[in-house]
Amino acid sequence: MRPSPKATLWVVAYFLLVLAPLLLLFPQPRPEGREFWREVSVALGFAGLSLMGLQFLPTARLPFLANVFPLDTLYRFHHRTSIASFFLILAHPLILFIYNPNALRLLNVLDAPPRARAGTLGLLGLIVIVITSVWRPRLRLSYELWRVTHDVLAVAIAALALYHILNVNWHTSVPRQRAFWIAWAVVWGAMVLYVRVLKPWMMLQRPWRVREVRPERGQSWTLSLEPEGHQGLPFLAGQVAWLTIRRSPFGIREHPFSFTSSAAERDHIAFTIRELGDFTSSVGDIMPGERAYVDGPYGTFDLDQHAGPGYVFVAGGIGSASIMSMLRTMADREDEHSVVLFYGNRNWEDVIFREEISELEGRLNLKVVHVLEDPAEGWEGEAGYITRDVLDRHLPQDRRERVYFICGPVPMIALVERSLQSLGVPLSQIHSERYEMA
Amino acid sequence: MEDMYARRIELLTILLAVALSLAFAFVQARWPG
Repeated sequence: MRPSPKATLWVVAYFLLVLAPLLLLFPQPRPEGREFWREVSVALGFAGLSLMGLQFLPTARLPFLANVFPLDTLYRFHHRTSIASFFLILAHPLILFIYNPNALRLLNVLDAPPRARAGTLGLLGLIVIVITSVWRPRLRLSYELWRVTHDVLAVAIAALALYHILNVNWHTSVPRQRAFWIAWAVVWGAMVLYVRVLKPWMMLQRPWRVREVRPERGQSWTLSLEPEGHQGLPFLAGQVAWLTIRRSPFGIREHPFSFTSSAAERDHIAFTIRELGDFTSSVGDIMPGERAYVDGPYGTFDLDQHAGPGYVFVAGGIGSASIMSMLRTMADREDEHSVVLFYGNRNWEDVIFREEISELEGRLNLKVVHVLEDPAEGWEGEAGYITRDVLDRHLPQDRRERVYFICGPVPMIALVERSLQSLGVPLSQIHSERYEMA
Repeated sequence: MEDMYARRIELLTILLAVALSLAFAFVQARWPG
């Protein structure tokens, strides 16, 4: 699959936005020329700040972006471009100080002019946000504390940086450059309002009620929700939603989960959640009748957008949640496409949906290959990981024409993607979804 | 696959940012104002 025209348009818009302050520097009139390295340093700072400001968009879960690009890719893109923006911004003072060591006095926040103070404080904030985000587990920061710190710092850094460049007032004295930054900052502010005010308010208008909390194999629970006073939520099999339960949607505790139920069912939605720590460990305590809020659906990991002559699903552990939604949807639609499911688990007892998958083998044109990491004695199926050999043994003749959906932990996805490529499956037919997002 | 495209876009962003910064500084030095 080539990138869709919509995706291509967004990528072009992305480049124009990030590079706009640099492109706007070129045309006449320009402020008087300064030293070469000073101008390089300022231009890098502009690019860094523009890229940093862009970060307000991918994580806002804007439907027009989140339904064009895979969600996990958007979040990984956010992580990596944030770090890139940090280094571009850091290059700004570093080059200035190397070129002109006297400028180091600007770091003294007591004596420096306000515009320099704002720049220094913004940079310090940026260092804190990068350290706490990259090393959050090592610093043992709770998700909530990190999230509040991250959100407050992001707004503060953007405000300080904007104050800095508008008050240095060199290139920003040119009206087009100044107008760009003010307009860009308005977009950042709008994103914050959308995420923190408008979206929670919209969720509040469409509450859900817990219908059932059902234990599953492998320390997992299926949570079924029914709409309360609204029509429910149409979604595509494979998509995800953010779930808020026992809390206000204006809070910060929300968690992404794949829909597990069939997309053909409209009276309820279901999520299957494995106990992995934090919120997930308390899912079993949730009682029927409790209120929940759902933000979604999001994502492009779905059957309908990537239809093919046949499918291969590869699931690892709880990654089967989204695959299960696909299988259930196919069964409800009486879909006759051929499907091969490779399903990796630690042991036979942990195989979530084991009985239902076996039943679906009778209803669908489905072949299931269980792969157990730690099988009991006497296991005659595949053992170990879903390797190239395992895939090669069970993939049908038309393997190069099929569409592949892989969902599971990152190492499994990497291994399966590499193996499929070496078996001649075009990369464009492989769609993956990693667990890690937030 | 999508992640591979994303990585290319990220790399291109950095390269373009650096190249345009150098180009602008050169233009300013050569044709000030």
